[in-house]
Amino acid sequence: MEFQTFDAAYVRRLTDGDPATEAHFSAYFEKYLSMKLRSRHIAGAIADDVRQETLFRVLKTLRAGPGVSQPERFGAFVNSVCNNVLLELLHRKKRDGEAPEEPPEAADHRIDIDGSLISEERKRVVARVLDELSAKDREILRLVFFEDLDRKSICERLKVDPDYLRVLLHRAKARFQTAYTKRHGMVTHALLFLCNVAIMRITT
Amino acid sequence: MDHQTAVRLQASEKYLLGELPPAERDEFEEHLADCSRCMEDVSTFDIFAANARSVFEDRAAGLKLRQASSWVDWLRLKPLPALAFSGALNMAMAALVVYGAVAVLPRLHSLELPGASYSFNVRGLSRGAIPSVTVPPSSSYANARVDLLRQYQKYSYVLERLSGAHFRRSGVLAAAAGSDTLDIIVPVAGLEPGEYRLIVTGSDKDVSDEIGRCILTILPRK
Repeated sequence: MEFQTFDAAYVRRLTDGDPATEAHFSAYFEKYLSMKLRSRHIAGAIADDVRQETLFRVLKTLRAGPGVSQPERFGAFVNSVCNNVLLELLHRKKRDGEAPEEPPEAADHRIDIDGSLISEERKRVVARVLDELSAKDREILRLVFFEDLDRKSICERLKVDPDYLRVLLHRAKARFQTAYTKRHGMVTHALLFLCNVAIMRITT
Repeated sequence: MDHQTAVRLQASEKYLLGELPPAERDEFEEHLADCSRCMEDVSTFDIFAANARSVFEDRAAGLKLRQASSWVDWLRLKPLPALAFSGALNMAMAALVVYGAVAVLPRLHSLELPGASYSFNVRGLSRGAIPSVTVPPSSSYANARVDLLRQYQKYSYVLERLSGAHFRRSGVLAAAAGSDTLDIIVPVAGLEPGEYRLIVTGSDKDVSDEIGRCILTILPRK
């Protein structure tokens, strides 16, 4: 999916109900909201509710309400709507006595949270990137992602600086991005080539 | 928060690691929603993290599986012991084949061929001293003839070595109906030189009589 810088034209098309813009809006902010909710350990049906309610309120504000005053900050607007939805959820839960302080946390639903992001192809690329790292770096990432240890413990245990951990993560991510993009690009080119061949055969 | 600040603070990495304080996290999320570059960065981090977690989970599960089937791994991952075991078996079989070809087959083969026979009579115990017979080296067979004073339903023999390495053979003999003699053909070509005792027994339902006995001396072949 392409990432977007928002402007008045985009907001106008969305307000007017342009199908392509609506599809983009839905896909882009579904992704954004999923990341935001994941960072707060909110998953499952609650996350679905928050996402749908946020997108619904944004469209309602655009079409039946005052609209947005700063179209170039449309993303920030969606974020604030989501914050409101989360706050309301929190207040409702507090009122019902279900969750006194924090939004609901899904302690053991990590796989559910990650499910939509995982694919065999991505795993293969990630596995290759991990195997290219030194044993120590691989162990650091294992402690971060698999053991879910807090950063301080990891740094103390493996005698590394917290900055090193972030640099390592950044490096691993960059390698993954390069390898995955390259692989995807090759697949896309191969598919395009096959499509072109098919079209040529049909037309001649 | 603008993009430069986000990069300087390594906000994407900190956001993924949950290291941003709540206020900074909210600021970064506000920026993130409008910044395509940071959005791509965090999205890639997110995908990498989820798949790395899954890879580590798979590897941990694989390790457990390997530990569970350790005896299979012993064969698969360390082929040397398996190879050595297989090699030892093959060598044992080869030795058996060689022994058969060198030691056993010639003896069996000699039994199949016609050869000279040395004939002699064997007397019953009641008829005097035990005869001692020396079989000439040129003979392949010793033909011991026993006079039958009466007919028995069954005849059997025992041939055993008296000195040296242990040797004992026994079996049932067939006698021609109505015949007053019983011929026992002993293949001597395969026997080691030395003294042997041959005992012939006749038996009915209730009775078992020794009907002949002799000492055979097998001489070394030239």
